[in-house]
Amino acid sequence: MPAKKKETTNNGGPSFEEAMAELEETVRKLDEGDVPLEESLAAFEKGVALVRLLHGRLDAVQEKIDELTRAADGSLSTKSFEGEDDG
Amino acid sequence: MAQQGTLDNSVTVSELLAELGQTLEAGFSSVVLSGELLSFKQPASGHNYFTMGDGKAAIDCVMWRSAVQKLSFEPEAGDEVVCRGSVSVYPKQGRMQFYARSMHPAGEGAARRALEKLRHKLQEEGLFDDDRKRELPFLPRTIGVVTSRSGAALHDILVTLRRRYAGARVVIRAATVQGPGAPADLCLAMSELAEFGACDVVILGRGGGASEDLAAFNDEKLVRAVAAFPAPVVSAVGHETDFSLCDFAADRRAATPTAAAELVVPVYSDLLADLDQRSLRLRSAMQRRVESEGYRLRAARAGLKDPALRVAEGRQRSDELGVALERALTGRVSQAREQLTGLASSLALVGPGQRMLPRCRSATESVTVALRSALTRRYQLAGNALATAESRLAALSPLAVLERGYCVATDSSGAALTVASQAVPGDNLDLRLHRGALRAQVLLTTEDE
Repeated sequence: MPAKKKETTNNGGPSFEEAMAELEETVRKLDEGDVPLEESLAAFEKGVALVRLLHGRLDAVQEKIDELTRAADGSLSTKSFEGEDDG
Repeated sequence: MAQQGTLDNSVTVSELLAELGQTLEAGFSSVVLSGELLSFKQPASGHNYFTMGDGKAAIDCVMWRSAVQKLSFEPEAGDEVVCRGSVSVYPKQGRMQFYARSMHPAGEGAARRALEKLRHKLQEEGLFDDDRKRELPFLPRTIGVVTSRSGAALHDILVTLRRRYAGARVVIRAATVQGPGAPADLCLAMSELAEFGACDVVILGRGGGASEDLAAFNDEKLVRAVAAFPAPVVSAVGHETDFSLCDFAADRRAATPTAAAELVVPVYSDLLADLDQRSLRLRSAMQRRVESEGYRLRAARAGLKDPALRVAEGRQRSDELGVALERALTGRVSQAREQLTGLASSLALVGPGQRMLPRCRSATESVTVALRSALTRRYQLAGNALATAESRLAALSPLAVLERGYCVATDSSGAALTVASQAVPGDNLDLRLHRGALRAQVLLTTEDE
């Protein structure tokens, strides 16, 4: 029986969810206040970078609808979806 | 027409049957035949031989191995079935036969029994087990969609995705979802999407319909392809009341294509609000942290005592010690004097010779003097130590030192320099003077030898 697969993304880097969880952890660490001030500053900077990254992910969104087709030579390719047929 | 049979106008049995066969094949090349399986045999050859009947008539049937392999169920005698095929003649016995190319269970009962049998088999294999189910990605970058190019399902999926979160790439593999070609095309669609590889999640769906229209989604090969797909699959086949085996094999089942799209992506504005809220918490946590550090700093500064106050405290303490010392000395002297007097009188009582008395007196007097001078010396020593401590205390006050013309040199990090090697020529130093400060640059460093 295969184990449950972890969420993965296709082009590397943390997934949105992973980055979100890391941000949550950073906030929690800052809130606890028992880390040295230098570490707090580093944590804050990391948190700010995560917020920027996540915002970037959300801002970069642009709807793209493709259709998968197999060419005569057997290769798979995508082309922009022309729209639904009447239906 | 001759009375007698002649070879000229006769045909052979083979010729007759061949001609009959051709006629039948031309007229009955594609027959959809329904009936009950009266007998059913599957010899080692792999071909199926059976008889179909309807209570009043019966016909022998053959299904070649190539067609048998495509069967979606295991037929048994007594099953109501629908076959597609042609009619021809089996010349060896001169029999008319139905050559079945496909066979499906007919009637609600038979179809359901066949489906139930397949469902049971796949379940036994563990294909539907809960621990096979994978989590859907929180925010997919690429969403695969396998459904009919026409029809409400694709429209509903695209509209719902756009309404909630238009950030993902959608890759559609249009497929035939009903009819005889549907299972094969759906399987091909799944394998092409798997080969394409970029999908984080796939929606496999079609709109609702009569249950026989969902038959393609009960196809064993397709069900296996769904279970084996490299990314999570959401099945959206039919509506609330319809179930397909693909629903069981998929990682999530959605009642409708719209519901499938809702499962697959979160709502954009919710994400944004969540992110903004976390960002705000991050900033306020840092602000609280800075404020509490500032508070600690002020508290620490308040705890530092003024050097002058410490000197005054030391002076008071030394005064107290001096008084105690003097009291102790006075006590010892008078005690010694009393002892001496006591000794002298007991000496007198014993009655020593008169010549001894002056010697004793002078001895005691010199002892008294020595004692007194020793005590005075101790007192002076204590006083000196006190004075030294006091002046060192004063010298330690940075203010006092600066007043004498010294200065404190600190580097850019604020650390005070004590050794020349802590700076190199070109460094900027801050010099704290008795009044004010200077920014100076190091020209030369010299180590003491």
